[in-house]
Amino acid sequence: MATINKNKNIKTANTKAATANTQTAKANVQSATTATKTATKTAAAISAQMSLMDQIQQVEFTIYELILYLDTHPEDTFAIEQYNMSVNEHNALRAQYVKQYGPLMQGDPVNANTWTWGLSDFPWDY
Amino acid sequence: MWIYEKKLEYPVRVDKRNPELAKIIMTQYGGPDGELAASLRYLNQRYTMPDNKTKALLTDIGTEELAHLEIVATLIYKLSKNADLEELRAANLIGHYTEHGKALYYADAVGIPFPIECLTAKDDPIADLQDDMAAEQRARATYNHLMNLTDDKGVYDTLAFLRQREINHFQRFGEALQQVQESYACKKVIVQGASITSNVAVAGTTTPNVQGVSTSSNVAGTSTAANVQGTSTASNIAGASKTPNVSGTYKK
Repeated sequence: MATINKNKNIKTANTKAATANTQTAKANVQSATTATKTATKTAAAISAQMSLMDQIQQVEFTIYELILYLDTHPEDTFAIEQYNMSVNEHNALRAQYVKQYGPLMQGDPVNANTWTWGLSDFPWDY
Repeated sequence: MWIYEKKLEYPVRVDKRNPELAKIIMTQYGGPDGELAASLRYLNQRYTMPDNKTKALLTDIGTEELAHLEIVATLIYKLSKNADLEELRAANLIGHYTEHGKALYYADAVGIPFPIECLTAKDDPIADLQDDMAAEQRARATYNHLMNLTDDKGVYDTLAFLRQREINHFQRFGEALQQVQESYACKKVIVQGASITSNVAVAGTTTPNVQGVSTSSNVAGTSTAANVQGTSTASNIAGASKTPNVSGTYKK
């Protein structure tokens, strides 16, 4: 019985800690300048973010198209060269986006004190 | 494995709410020639492909189709998001609303649920790749119909992008089919031990553009040369280029 009560206490403590963490997280969201929520506050900020995403999508499209081409033309060295160039450009743009607006996928660094993955909008909502 | 990236392959712009348009675009979500069908078909067929090159192509196109599925879903969601019940009734979506509310559902434009039997797989690369090429053309034709039915410039632009991707996929499947047929023809000749013909066939395999490699390929029941011809003619009609369309296709 004593053990059960102890466990209950631990659970309560954990819940309290979780609540505290949530509050800290909320505070972090408000203060984190890199969080997407903050970045999407003004129209200018939205437009800057969209413009960067647009560049990423364009380079990424080049990469997709070259991948499919190279799947059936694996010995085209010119296409491989173009592919590598596009990949480098894509990596640089992506790193810039992730740094400013938060992670795009698992494995991207989180450059804020809060887990921005679950806070930024999903693509069908913006 | 797959990793989700929190972005669309191509931007989706919807100029105004239009649940009727959402309803017809649904066919590219859960219809027999839609993006779900394409993705599942290619990702399922790839296990029994004869070589890694073809497995790579099916993996890559199957994965891109998943990205297209998300684009189509975004179109449907945005077109119907704030529609009221009267608008849903007018768009003939009241049945959908009864069953699913405003949730997306894998069904075609008339509400028929996703038909699993459309996911053909024969463990035969000739049959499967021919089927994949036909699937790309059916999807392209559906996008054509949808483009004829919309005057929303934003939606039209996204549909045009997706339509162009079907054409490019068709082109790549055609090349894969040609290469698989050439490698079959090559194997057949080597087994028969006809050395002179064998050299020709080997040269044909390493250089994909050589035409008429061998007319003795009975694998597909037709001659290789005829199929090569058929592939390039069809792709010319569809307007696909043999080289990657890196600068021309992507337009906002």
